[in-house]
Amino acid sequence: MANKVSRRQFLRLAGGAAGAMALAACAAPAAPASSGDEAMSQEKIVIRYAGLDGMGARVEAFMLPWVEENGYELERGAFGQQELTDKIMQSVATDTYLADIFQFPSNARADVINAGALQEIPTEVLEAIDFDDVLPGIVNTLSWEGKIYALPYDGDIHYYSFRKDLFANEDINSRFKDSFGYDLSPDTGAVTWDQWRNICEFFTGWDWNENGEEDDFGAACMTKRGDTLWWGFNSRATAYAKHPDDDAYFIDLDTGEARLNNPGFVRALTEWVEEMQNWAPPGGTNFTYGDSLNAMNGGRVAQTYNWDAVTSATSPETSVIQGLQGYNILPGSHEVFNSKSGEWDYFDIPSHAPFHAFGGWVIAVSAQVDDLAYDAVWGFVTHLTKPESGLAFVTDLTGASPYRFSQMDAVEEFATGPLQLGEEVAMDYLNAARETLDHPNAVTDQAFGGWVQYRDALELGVSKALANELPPQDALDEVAVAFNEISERMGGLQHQAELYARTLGK
Amino acid sequence: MATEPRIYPSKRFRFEIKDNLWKWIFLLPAVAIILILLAVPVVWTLYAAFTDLHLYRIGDFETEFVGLANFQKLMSNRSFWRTARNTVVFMLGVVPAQLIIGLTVALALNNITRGQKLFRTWFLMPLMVSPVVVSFIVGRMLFQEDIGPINDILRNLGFEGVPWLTSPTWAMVALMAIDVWQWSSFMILMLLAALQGVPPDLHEAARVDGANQLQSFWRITVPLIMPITMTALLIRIIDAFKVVEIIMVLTGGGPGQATESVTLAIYRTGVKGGDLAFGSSQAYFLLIVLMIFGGAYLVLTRRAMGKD
Repeated sequence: MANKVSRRQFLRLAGGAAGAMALAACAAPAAPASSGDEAMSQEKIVIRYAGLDGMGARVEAFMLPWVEENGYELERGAFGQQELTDKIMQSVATDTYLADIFQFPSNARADVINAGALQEIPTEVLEAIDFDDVLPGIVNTLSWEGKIYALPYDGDIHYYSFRKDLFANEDINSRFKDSFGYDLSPDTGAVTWDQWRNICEFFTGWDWNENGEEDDFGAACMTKRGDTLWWGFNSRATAYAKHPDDDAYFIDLDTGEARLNNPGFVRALTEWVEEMQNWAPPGGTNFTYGDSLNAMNGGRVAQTYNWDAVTSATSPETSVIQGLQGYNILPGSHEVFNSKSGEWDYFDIPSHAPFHAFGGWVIAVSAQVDDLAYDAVWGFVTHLTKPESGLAFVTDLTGASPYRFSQMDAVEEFATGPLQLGEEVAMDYLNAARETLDHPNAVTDQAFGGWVQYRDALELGVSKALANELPPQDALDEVAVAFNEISERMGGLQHQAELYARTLGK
Repeated sequence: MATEPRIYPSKRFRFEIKDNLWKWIFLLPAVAIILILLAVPVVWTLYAAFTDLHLYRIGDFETEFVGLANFQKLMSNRSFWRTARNTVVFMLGVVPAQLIIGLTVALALNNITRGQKLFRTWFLMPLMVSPVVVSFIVGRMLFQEDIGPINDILRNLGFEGVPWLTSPTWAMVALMAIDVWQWSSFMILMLLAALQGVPPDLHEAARVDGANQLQSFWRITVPLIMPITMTALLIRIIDAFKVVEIIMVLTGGGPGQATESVTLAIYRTGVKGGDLAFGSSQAYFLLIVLMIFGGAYLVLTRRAMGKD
């Protein structure tokens, strides 16, 4: 008689078998069949790195020979910019492991370092990477309460960039002088925001790029909410709202009250709205950071400010203006609003307040590194951030910007290395970088707790003004109220003021 | 007189218990997983909505119970109500358009005899593409104001370029256009399936009785496809209330706050901003609104179709 199994019996048997297999899986593993040496060789130390996809790929390519030489393995987690920040913030907030080493935005340092998520950098590592060579403006982004918790990778700042070739053109200059009464300077570009506005107006609506169409404009900036508007607006506002005698910019250091609706910020926004609505390409009030770069590199606008204005302009695939750009620190202003006195102060020499926009990506070691991987991890970050490695990164198409004194002197490497800037452009670029990072009135990016919320609140208000939904004053009044509400939720105005002081190194 | 076979309740009852026990044992893992994945977040979010829980607050802070404070704040939060208004406007803009396009194309497809499978597959394609990709390709590239093809065509025809992404009104129109492009296919497929379920002999009988095509459509087709139509509409309405991807990619909620949806606001508040308490109260508000709307919709449609 054939043994038939009904469907129900089959299910019972299958369920029993699955249960037995599950129990077996939970049991202790069997002893390895291979010899002890073979087992040891299979247990390679794995270094886990989390970072941006593009930058991380370059880190991996650069570090792989070192990793293999030392017999380690590298596992790289690749994320988009927003995704990476979110992952890091969530891992810190929930105290969960993300990676041994991670790249994080330096303006999240209050959230990340203060939560105890990072290991302090050992003195021997600081010595090995010649930490004294790092510019003070960058050291601040790696520190918390006088201790170093991260290593430098990128000196992200906003540069002012302009079309040097156009400004040196005699015919264009004479027409400009007829209109505004002074010469265009091919050496410095706009020195004040008033000059920036004149240049915006002058270069709008005529065919200076000689493509047969009058589709040329004065400037393009990053204006899209949820993209990089925070940096676009603050770079435009610092010269009016950051007084040289006052360390604070975003909130008052004594009271914690938001300053975002003071006359300095309102003037900046009022002018910016006019510029972006009238003297930027169509859609200029909703440009991503990439859109503004494309407008500059595509030869559509005469000036901009950005992070990657230098490196992206070097590639023939993305730029028609190779070697034609000049660089400088962000324009300044003769008038600066003094929040303490409530008055505008006049400066004979324009006051500059270059914005350390974003402050750069930094490399840090997680507090949750396994003991076994400890040496490997510190060896990895030391090799990655030592001076020779740093120079290799900032002189290549990595998007990383210079951050060491020694890099500022490496004109030859920038001029003839992979970036192929040429000596004149390289000099301009490095001078602008050094002046910005070393400037006594430079503005450190917002880095006290809750920066993502503050950023969203500012972007919402500024975006409303750019879209004509609200006048600039009303829009910034809303921003100031939102800032104060966020500060209250984050622990109180005074608490946030104290954190702000710490991010300024006070 | 036929007598019904006698059933012995006690024996059958025992048999059912034994039979169902095995079913329950096999179902238990799936039920447990679903409960854990569904119930835990739902309960936890409810708990968070009544606290001041914040992910990124620095310092020695205890999470405290705050009662209805988050919901009170929600009621007086102008920004949130703006996103609620945007969401309703979006829903009212896209769902009727998708219904009209879906019905029109489905009727046309139902009447063609050749190539119906090809068109059905063709119309399925937009549904297979991720909304993020659609927003980028259809949205950011086509609606680019400066060098996008739509404005280029308009300018070549002598018109002004349209401020697709910088005008509050046009930005909403652009978003609606993308959603309609992608999700009309869903309506087409659902309604085509409904139309193909209508027995052709009913139309033939109506024609014999002297009904014209319009009468036949209104009196036979519409009532018979109504159940599927109402289900499809409910699905699309709920989806439209939860819209987020295309807005994030195309406008980021801007210009200003003109296109920010409730879901995007919840994401920004809770996930990005770390304010889990307020974000949870917003999420619960949306959930309650959708539950009330969905329940009322089902009751009313069942009544309208005479099922109650």
